[in-house]
Amino acid sequence: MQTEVLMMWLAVSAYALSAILFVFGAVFRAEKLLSIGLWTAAAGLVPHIAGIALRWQAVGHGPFLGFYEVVSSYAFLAVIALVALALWRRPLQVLGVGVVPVALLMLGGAMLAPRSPLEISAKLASWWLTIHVAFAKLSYTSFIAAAALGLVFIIRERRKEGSDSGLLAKLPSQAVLDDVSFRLVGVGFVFLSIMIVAGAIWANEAWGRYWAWDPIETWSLISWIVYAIYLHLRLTMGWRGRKAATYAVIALPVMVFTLIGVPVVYNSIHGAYLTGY
Amino acid sequence: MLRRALRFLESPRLAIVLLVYLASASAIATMAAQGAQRSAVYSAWYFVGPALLLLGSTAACAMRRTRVSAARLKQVRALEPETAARLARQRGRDVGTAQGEGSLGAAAVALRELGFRQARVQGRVVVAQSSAWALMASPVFHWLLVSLLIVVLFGRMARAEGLMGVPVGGERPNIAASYGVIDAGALYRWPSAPLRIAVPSFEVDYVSDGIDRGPTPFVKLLSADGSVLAAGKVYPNNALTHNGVMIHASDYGLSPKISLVTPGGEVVATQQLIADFDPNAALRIAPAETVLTDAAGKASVRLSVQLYPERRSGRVVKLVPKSPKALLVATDAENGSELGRATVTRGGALQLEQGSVRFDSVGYYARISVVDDRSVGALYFLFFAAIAASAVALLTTPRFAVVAVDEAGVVRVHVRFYRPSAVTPADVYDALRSVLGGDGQQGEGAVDAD
Ligand code: HEM
Repeated sequence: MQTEVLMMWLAVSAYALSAILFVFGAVFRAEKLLSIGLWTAAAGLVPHIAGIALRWQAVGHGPFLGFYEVVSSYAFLAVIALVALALWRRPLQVLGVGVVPVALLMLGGAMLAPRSPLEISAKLASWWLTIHVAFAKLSYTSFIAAAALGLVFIIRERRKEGSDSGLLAKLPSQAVLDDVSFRLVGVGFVFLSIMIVAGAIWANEAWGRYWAWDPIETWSLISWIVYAIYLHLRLTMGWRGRKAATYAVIALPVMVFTLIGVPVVYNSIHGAYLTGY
Repeated sequence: MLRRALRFLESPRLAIVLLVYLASASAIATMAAQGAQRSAVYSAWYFVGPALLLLGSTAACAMRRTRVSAARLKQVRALEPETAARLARQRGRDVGTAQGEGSLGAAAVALRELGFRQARVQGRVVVAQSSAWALMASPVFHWLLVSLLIVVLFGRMARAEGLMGVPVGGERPNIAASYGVIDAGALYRWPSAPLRIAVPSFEVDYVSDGIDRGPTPFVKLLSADGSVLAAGKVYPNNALTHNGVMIHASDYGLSPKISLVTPGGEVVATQQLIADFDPNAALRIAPAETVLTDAAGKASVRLSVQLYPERRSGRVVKLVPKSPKALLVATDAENGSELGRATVTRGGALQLEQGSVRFDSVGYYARISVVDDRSVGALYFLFFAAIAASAVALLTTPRFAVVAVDEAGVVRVHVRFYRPSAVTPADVYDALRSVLGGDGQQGEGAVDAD
């Protein structure tokens, strides 16, 4: 427990430092600072994963029960996604200006939440749960990355042709951003389908019903439809560029509401992963 | 008329409008309504109607797109070298000059690397196409969605689910009368040779793998003639299943056993009743009621059996009492007048004119949830098939290309993407230019969505 908390605070410190570097780097257009910020955030991943692993070992289950575990794991995935995108196309590291402060707030908030472990109950003891949770995380990460690329696309589009400042000019072309954002939505959609199906099968194994219009079930279906609409607008109505990017950005809050808002707003048997049993 | 209906259903706008409507209606329902009222929204006409329209629309779309994709696949496969060469000449771009025999082979290899999986050299042309999977995945996916919706729809109607109480040591036939609560769909048929559900043993607290599984009955599913079809401990995530019948443990309670004894001491009837722990009355267990029938088969006495619960340090525990005690109240089944009452311990009896009612023993009963839904297997299969098809559809890009060498040795290529992708026609030209070492003109190629 002691080591775990220490590791987590080390990660918080690294992200805090990285956030400062990113903000200064962006304000003063200093690419060097952005790079240092990126590596600082990447360094923070090491104590962060160590903290998650220690917790996993201590409580005997993955990071999916309770606010502390869930939110900290999403902060981890957000930073991983940033580092992956930056490794793929270095200029994308500028996304850190948005991602790292958010990850910092998430992890900081998680550290301040109660950390007492929640037990795996008989209802939760299922392989389907593992699949359900793993794909939920993968799909949310994909949608977050798609929205982030959409945001970059829109910001760049707003500046007039040819007036890209140093940082933006180095990004991949708008066409590539547009396509990658679409691919990420596509991959996220497939992951989301797997998550919903694993959840339905698990519900059937646990309760004998695969679908009961529980608020969280319903909201995950709504998010699925929201992204199916995106795919249709793009593939059948020819939405590209700014329109598609705007949609990817606006769709994200629906997803976030499903994950964090629904367990809080509705009193559902399903919200236990955030609010406890 | 039919054609116009089809045209309407095939419209991509309609699909989007319906999807937006269903998402909004679901969202509003989760906020506006509660409990049963909420689930009623999802079976109301303004939800089911548009969902059925979407089903029709998806089927219409899938049909049209199957035809289009199959035609494309066939068209390219059947492309004659002369036609292909003409296509490249008329619509293609110049990408360089052939450097001898190997040029077309090298072009085919380059095309394969760019995702044109089936690239074949025929004389002086290369015809290349993405795999059949890439072309057919999207229509297949939409067909799977249609099947999924139909299976869900019919599955719901042909499904029965209910709760029955089975005394430990006893069994119940799987017929409507065995259930306390039953919800059978309009198309559900009760089997002519019903299964039997037996509960030979029960544990109030079963622990396995270090996890407390809670109250756990051991359940046996028997065929009508008594052979065991399935058996096992039933706890969360460990249901007992057999051919679409799925058994979960829902709850448990007590089961008092009583007998009707003649004045001569002969037992004429024995019954195992079901009594629930009453969450509202901390003192007593809800009474179990039964109508006792005498030897002539006429209903005569209505009996209520009320058990006193076990208490540990002043608190009621959900266990069989160590020294069970029951309040027996007999009333006339016709006019309701009381015939007698007595508080008795195990083995004690309430004396009546016709004989006596004896409180034999008390054990547990398991409340079993039985779901009979044959559609679940098909549903699981369709889930996975649909996910696989959507993954293929989203990760591939259907495309085709022809490369031809004319008499002067000039290589021309015509590329067509049926959907925009990260690889553009310009990338194809560049790749071919680099394998040919040429420097033909720049070009755009065709990209379209359907
Ligand atoms: C239950 C309703 C529907 C859902 C959930 C759905 C979902 C999807 C998804 C996930 C995709 C992207 C993957 C792929 O290319 O197959 C897609 C593509 C597509 N859908 Fe649907 N769809 C539905 C109904 C419809 C309907 C009614 C139409 C007819 C207008 C339609 C026409 C299309 C077309 C044309 C594409 C593009 C295919 C391509 O570019 O190759 N869909 N749909």
